[in-house]
Amino acid sequence: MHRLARASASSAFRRPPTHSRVFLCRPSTSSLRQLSTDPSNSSLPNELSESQLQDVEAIEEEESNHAFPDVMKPDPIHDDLLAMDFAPTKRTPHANRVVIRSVYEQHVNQMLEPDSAEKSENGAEEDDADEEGEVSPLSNLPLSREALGKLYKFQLISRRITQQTGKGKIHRQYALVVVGNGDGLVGYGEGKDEELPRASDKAFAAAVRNMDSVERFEKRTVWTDIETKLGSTHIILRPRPVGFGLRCNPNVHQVLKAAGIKDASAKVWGSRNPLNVIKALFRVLQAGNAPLAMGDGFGGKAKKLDKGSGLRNKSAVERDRGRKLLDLRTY
Amino acid sequence: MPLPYDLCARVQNAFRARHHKIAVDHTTQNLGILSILLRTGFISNVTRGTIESPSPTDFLRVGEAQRRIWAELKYRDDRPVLSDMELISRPSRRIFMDIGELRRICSGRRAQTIKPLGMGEIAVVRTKSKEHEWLEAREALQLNLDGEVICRAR
Repeated sequence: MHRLARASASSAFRRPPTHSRVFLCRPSTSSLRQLSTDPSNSSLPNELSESQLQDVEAIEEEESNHAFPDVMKPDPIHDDLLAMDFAPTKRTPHANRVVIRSVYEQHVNQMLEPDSAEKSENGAEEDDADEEGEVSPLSNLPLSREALGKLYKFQLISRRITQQTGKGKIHRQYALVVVGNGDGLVGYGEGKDEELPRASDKAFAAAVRNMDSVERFEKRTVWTDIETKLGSTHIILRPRPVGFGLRCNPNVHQVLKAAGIKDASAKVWGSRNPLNVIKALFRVLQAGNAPLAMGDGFGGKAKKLDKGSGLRNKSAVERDRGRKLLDLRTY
Repeated sequence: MPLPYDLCARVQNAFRARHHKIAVDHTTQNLGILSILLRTGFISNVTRGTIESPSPTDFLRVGEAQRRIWAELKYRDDRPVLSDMELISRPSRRIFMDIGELRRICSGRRAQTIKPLGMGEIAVVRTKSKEHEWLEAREALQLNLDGEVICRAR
């Protein structure tokens, strides 16, 4: 039978750890500023001036005041060890002792019950990682799992993309997902992976991080006719009356639905490339809090996707002008 | 008389270049349009002055050629308050609207190939009335006056 025992001060295995060896020596002039622990530097200089001697004495006093460990006494943290004694048996006729110097719970569990220890280790890892040991993209998001489940998400673009390398073509799946809470928050994210479901998850996580607010009139439509051009993609959005619905390009439809805009009409001229349509729409919908990126070196170059002031609501315009706006719309 | 396009271009470009004040020719047209911009809150100050400075006293001493109208421009949150100012009625195609058509563009419907006024957008109307010659579109509706729709600003 073996028993776990704490080592006592009189144990024969006691050996002072080598890292805390200290040599009390007079420091040389060259090493006055560092407390040298190398024994080769303990040579005295030929001459020491009075001021230097005083410095040396001051340092020695400091040294004596420091709490250097007394290596003759056992330190409760560093010298704590676990010793296990194995009595001689028929097969092993000699007394054996196992000493563990840095004690971990795992070691203790392994000693006592080796089978259960393996199971608990694996179980702890599976929660966060999958087979290959990667972290799921849906972890570390600012919303709880319940909140994430309630979001409206739609995969707008999915395609196979290729990276040409010297050793051949690397194919991956790309996904663009738009996410919104249906009440004024919307964002889009892109993700790439070998498999489409994982790329979609990455895109979903990116979209959740990119969500930003959208100004709505009566929580159902845009405030005014808005137009923008991104490359060859020209898009115009118009406010419409209650019950009109969303009559627009399918990509625009999903973004507006996620944002919580219920009545609008839109037209896309020129290029209808889905990615550019989505980018143009986000540029024109999301007002943002920061002013325009002017691109004069302060804050960097102007970015295409920051252009325009976005959709601003009536109170913002009223505040700018210092006047009330009269609304003469009949619908 | 210079075209209203001159004033539209100067005001728009000055806002985009983030100027503090601009000086335009001293005409009744410029005075009328700048007064409308002041009433609707696009600019903060309209003053008579000279080429040198917006000083009403100096304005009286100099001749007609040196007289100017100065307008002080408004910015908020690092954005210009006026972003676009365009002509509607051009010399090649004049646009005259009656009360019904003015009401249409003010209430969000198209009239005569002219797009309706969006939220926060204004239109300048020049009427035949002596008292009220230069009016904003909604003011013209209230006063029941029609005329030439000169320009729009937002």
